[in-house]
Amino acid sequence: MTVLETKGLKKYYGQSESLVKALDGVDLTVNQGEFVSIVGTSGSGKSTLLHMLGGLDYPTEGSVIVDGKDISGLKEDALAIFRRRKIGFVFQSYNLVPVLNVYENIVFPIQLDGNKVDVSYVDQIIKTLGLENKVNSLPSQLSGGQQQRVAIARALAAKPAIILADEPTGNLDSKTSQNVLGLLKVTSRKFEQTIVMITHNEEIAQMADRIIRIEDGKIVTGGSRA
Amino acid sequence: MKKVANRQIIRMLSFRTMKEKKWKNLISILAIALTALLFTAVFTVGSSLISSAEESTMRQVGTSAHGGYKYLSVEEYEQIKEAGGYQSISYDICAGFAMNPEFAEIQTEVRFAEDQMAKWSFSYPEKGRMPKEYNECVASSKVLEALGVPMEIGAKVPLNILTHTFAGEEKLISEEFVLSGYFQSNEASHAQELWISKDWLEANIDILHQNYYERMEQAGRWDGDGTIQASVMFASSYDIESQMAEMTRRAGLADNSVKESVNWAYASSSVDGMSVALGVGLLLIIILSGYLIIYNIFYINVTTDIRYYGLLKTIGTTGRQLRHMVRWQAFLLSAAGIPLGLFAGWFVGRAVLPAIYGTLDYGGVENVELNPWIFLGSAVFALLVVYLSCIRPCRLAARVSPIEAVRYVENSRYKKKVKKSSRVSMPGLAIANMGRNKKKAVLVIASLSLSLILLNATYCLIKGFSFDEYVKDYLVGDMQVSHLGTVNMSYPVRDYEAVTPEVVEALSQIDGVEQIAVPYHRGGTAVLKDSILENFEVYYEQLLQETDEFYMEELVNQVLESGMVSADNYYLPKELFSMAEFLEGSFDKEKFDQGGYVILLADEESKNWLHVGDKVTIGSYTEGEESLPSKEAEIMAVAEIPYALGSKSFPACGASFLMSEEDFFKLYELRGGLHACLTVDKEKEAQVAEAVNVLLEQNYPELTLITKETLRESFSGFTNMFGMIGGLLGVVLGIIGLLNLINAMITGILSRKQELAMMQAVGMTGKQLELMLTMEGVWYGVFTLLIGATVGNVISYGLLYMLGKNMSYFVWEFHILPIAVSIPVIALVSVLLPVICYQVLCKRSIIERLRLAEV
Repeated sequence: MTVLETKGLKKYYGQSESLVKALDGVDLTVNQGEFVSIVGTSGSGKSTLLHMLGGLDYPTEGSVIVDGKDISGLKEDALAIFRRRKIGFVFQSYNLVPVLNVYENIVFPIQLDGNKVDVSYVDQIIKTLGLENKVNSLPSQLSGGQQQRVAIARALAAKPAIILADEPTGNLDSKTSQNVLGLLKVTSRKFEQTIVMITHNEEIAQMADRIIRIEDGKIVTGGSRA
Repeated sequence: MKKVANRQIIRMLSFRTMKEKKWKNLISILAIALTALLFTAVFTVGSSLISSAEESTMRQVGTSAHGGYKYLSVEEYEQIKEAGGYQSISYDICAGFAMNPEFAEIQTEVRFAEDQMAKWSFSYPEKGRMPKEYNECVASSKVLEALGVPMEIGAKVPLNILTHTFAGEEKLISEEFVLSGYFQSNEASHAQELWISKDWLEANIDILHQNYYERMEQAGRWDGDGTIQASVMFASSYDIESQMAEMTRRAGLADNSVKESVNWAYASSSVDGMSVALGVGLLLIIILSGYLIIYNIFYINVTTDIRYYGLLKTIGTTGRQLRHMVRWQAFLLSAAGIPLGLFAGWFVGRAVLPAIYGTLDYGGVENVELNPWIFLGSAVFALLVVYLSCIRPCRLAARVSPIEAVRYVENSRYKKKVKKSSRVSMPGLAIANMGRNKKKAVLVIASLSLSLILLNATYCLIKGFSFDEYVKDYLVGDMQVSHLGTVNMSYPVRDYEAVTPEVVEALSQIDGVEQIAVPYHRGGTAVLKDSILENFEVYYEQLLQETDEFYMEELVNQVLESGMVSADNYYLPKELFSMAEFLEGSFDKEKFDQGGYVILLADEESKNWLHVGDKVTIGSYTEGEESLPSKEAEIMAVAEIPYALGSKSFPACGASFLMSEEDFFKLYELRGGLHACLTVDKEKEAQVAEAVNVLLEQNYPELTLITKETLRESFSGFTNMFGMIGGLLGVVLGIIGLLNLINAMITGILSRKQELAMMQAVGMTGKQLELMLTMEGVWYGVFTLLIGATVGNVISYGLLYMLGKNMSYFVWEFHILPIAVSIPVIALVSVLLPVICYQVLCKRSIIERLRLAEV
């Protein structure tokens, strides 16, 4: 079953002479429960693609369909609501809210939506990610790896359609990176969570079920399941 | 340490850094300018008041010179002049008094004077020049007016001058002078100077060529005609008395052969303790509030730029250099802000002054100082505040660790390590955000509440002034007719017996006047028994240790020597007597009316050494040898009478007594009463007032009518002054507080650009974000209002209680209106500002904000 699909996705910046074609007709599909990595060199357009997928930016042309819904035409606030319900983000720089403790950070998107927290589900996530002893800690008390695990937990907590991870291990050492990626993969299996991860690191990309290569705004290989 | 020539690059760097942040600079400059404005305004007002008070005293004294000599001979003057030790010296020679019948109430002294002397005497011609030709003269506007001579150069001035021959016989010289110049006479001085030429003087008057006291003995003369009066100005006004004594010694004059005088306008400091305390308090408030805002702004600016400073440190800038950078920025901002504040402050000060002068009485002297020291002082104070405010932000910048700075989030010093989970709500998030930097929050709230407290206190003060109580102090009955001297303290003449039977009769003829009650007053003496004198001595010995009233010691000694004090004695008819409020003792009307008893009128001092049961002998000041009647009386009780009924003055180191009709009139023969207290038909009040005014203007120009209407005018002038000063200070502090709030909120939002973008990325809607930011502002407002309403009221109660203790017409009332009124203002800022900031933020997309680390 397809959860994520793009059709002829284009994103151009600037005009005429200085026109930059960040994305130039991208078609891809991602199925439920898949762990996909998108690789490319810097400037290849992979981050732009991620932003389009997550509804953080509007495409110049084409559409993004998440869970059967075309999001490319949504208004700003509708997009925010879409994001907190359907997308979980994991950023390179963790991006936790400094005044909220670990637990509050994890359930933050759910509460923004005004929904009741599925306590047992969140507890399960916390246990899986090994954060049981840290729930009341503030982000400033955590190591980088711990903060990234909280970010992953936050992304999972709302049971989103997709988790988008933007260089999730970019700020971590290689051992912690392996650890965090392992957890990402385990949770993907355990909670049948679709994950799209972008990275420039081949080795890390290999952990995924499928690798999509992108160059100069176009998909080179792996655009859909072989 | 080796000195490195890096100042240039550091200054260039701070300049470039500043150029980047225009709005921050604007707020800083405004804050510095406001601080400088307050200093300048206060200094302008303060120095203008001091100079006016000084000049007013000098005008009363009659000279602005430091000191001088009276009754000198020509030779003595030359000796003194040659002795030196002064900055300048000048003289006049007395010819006599002008005795034209028009001068019955104007003491007019006829003298020849050097130009400098005339200037020092505030009597230098404003139009025309000093007399040169034989029969030229210079006179004051008051003299000319009395004579009916037009104020025109060349006008004829006929004068009868009373002088003395060498033998001491009176001689009246009539002469027609020609006006060569004139000047505006000042209200404060008692005597009018009339200048004549040296030629006229030499032709008509014997000028003194021997010692004055010698002449006095030889010719039996007491007058000063033909004597020199000299005035000197020293380099400094410090200890004029010794400087004078030293000069006399240098001139080789015997100690008691000449009469030295010291200008007490310099000797008695023209500012009292209360004013000094008020001034210092005001300065402290300004320093504090200036510090609160400038410090706050700098502190916040440094925190928001901390990553930038960290970066600079990483690439090799030292802590010292960073500190230098911050300080240099502060001084650049001061260079822009302070001149602006000095300029505006002077105008504010000048605008406030008339309101203050309206409530003070400096005999018409209303100087507005434009003194370079005001600006220099204000600039120094403002710089001092800026410097103080910089210390901690400088340290923060200097101590930044390059590694920490890069990851610096505002709550890195958040002591809390764990936090209990609770449901995330926007108000909750907002309060948590405020708590990130507690210091910032406290400073913003403190500076905002300070202005609220001040505004509220001012309002309470003004509302607390009770007109009814004020009226009680100045008016008994519906209207009151009194001599000008008992109403206006600067009026040169006081007549305590001006309300003669003739006046009362004329008043009673006016239609609508129902009753007239007249209190009587006469200053006399009271002889004390030894036992009372002992009490007196004990009490004043202690008081003298506590005060520095220079005249008091002399007075006390006089009393102890003579066994007699000054006594202000009153008689009140029964309508007025009933207003007396008894404090001690029991009053027996029958016994009192029989005579032999007095009631002590309580004042701060006499009730401490006089008690019920003490016997005093009331009498009059003796003139010459004749013995005047006196009466021994026992103090029956201690009482208070309305201030308006009294003479408005108290005998120094003496007592005031209320006497029975019989005793009072047996002792004293009076021309008339002190006041006329009128009871009037309410319907005809306005007509009566008009008729009384017409009567007084035509027949009794020295009497004045006091009504509720006239009091209302002076009352509102009085309250307006407090309102204006307090309101102005409150509003300026309010602006400072609001600037603080604005700065705190804007920096708070901008420094969290990335964090806010992240919150949006994980699904916070724009509305939720706006709500969170708005709530942060609202919390500031709520805390400020809470503090203003609680602590503020306690503080203003304390302050006003102290102030109101000395004012019988101040009644404390609880008010909260100013705080209520400021709610919308604070609400507007705290709601609008986040919305505007959010709109500015939204110009950049979430991704841009996410990616861009803030610089």
